Amino acid sequence: MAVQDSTRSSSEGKSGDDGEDLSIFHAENLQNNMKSIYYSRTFLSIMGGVVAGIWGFTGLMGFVFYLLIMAIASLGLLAKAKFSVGNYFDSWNRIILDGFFGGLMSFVLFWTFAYDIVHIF
Amino acid sequence: MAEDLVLDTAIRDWVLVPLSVVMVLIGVLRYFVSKLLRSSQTPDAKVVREGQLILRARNLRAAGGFIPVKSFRARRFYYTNEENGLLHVPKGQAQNPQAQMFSDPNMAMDMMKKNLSMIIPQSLTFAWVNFFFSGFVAAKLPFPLTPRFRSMLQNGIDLSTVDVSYVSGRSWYFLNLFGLRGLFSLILGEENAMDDTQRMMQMGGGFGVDPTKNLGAEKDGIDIIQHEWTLPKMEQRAEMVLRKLVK
Amino acid sequence: MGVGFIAGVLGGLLFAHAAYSTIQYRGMLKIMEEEFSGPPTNVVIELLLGFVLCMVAGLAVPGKFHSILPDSEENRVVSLPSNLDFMIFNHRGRLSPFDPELKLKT
Repeated sequence: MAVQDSTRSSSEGKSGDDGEDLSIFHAENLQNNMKSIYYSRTFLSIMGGVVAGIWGFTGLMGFVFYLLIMAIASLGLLAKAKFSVGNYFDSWNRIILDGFFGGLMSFVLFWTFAYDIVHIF
Repeated sequence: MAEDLVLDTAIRDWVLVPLSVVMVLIGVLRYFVSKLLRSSQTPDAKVVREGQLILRARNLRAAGGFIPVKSFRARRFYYTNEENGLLHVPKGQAQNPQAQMFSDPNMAMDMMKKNLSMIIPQSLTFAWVNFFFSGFVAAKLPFPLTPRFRSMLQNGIDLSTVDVSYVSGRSWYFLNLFGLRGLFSLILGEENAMDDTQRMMQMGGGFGVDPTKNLGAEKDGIDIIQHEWTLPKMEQRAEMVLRKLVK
Repeated sequence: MGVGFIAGVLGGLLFAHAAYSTIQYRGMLKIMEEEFSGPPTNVVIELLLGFVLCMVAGLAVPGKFHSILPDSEENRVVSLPSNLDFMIFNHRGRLSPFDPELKLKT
């Protein structure tokens, strides 16, 4: 029978149960979570751009500020996921990195916009 | 750093702010116009069937470990055998997408509408910006750049002594064009997230995708998969539980 | 949705006011011919407060995360109270030891 057959073969192949956990998850819910992460990131990078512009950051300082904002956003997202990432995402990178570079362009645009409105005229 | 230019506040009030606001409003308007123009076409039965088939095959590939080898082989045969497997596409039957497009006038019409709704507002806005706002120093980037960016950022000003971080009105238009994508995806929803550059690329490269190619790829995927049943360990697990119980 | 949205609007208004007062401040500096070294304190406070509000908005508006685990409560296709007929109170599972170490392994 196929059952016993494969039992034997797999017990031969791997002696201990050293296999990794099966990854089963809801793809739709994961998609939904990623979408909401993307939304949060984009919104925060726009708002961060406005803050940086009004504050008057120039040069490298602004990009450092962007990093800071993304770090805070990661913390916020982590808190939103109640500190149990495994429950909602398939990897840590989703919370830490997703939408990082997508937001940069928005950040730069709104940074420039606010900076110009407030400071150069 | 080069000395600062003194800019009139009227430039802010009458160039920078209106230009940005108009860009946003045009984006919103374009979204609604293209939504109006979009014809709701009833999907072709064959296309839907193929899509569902690919989904099923994908499910089999993802969750194949939960069924015994024998069942998996039976299913694989059902999908990929060379005579009448569902995923097997006979040679020569693969349709040329170009020909398919010409045989279906609706599709070409749709494409044209999409392109029109993209090109017309864009060229109009560009003409408007060009007419009113070219030649202003409208903005200044808050970070320094190398002189290489001069042609990009100071489009319309022919002064080489101006610091590179100053941006002309026309270039501000381009910056907005590429940078407002995030804002649009926030206020209009995700489906608008595709920005103009991507759309242009899509327009250039091929009309639609070939569905038979997808089928072939899925068939290869199923053929290549190594089946490994995950449940034999269940017996050992049950044994462990029972042993604990007996103890 | 409601609370987050209101927080976002408030944050935006705070930003607008901060921008306005900074412009005024710059104008004053220009008259007094001093150098700009940083925004005044009230603007900084306003910016931070507004950013916190926006943070709340950005995290609250997109909605809750959904659990991706197939065995979590919200992903159950059938919830217990809806089919009381099939509740079984006496089965061998009650005798088996509960061991969280036992997991589904490949």
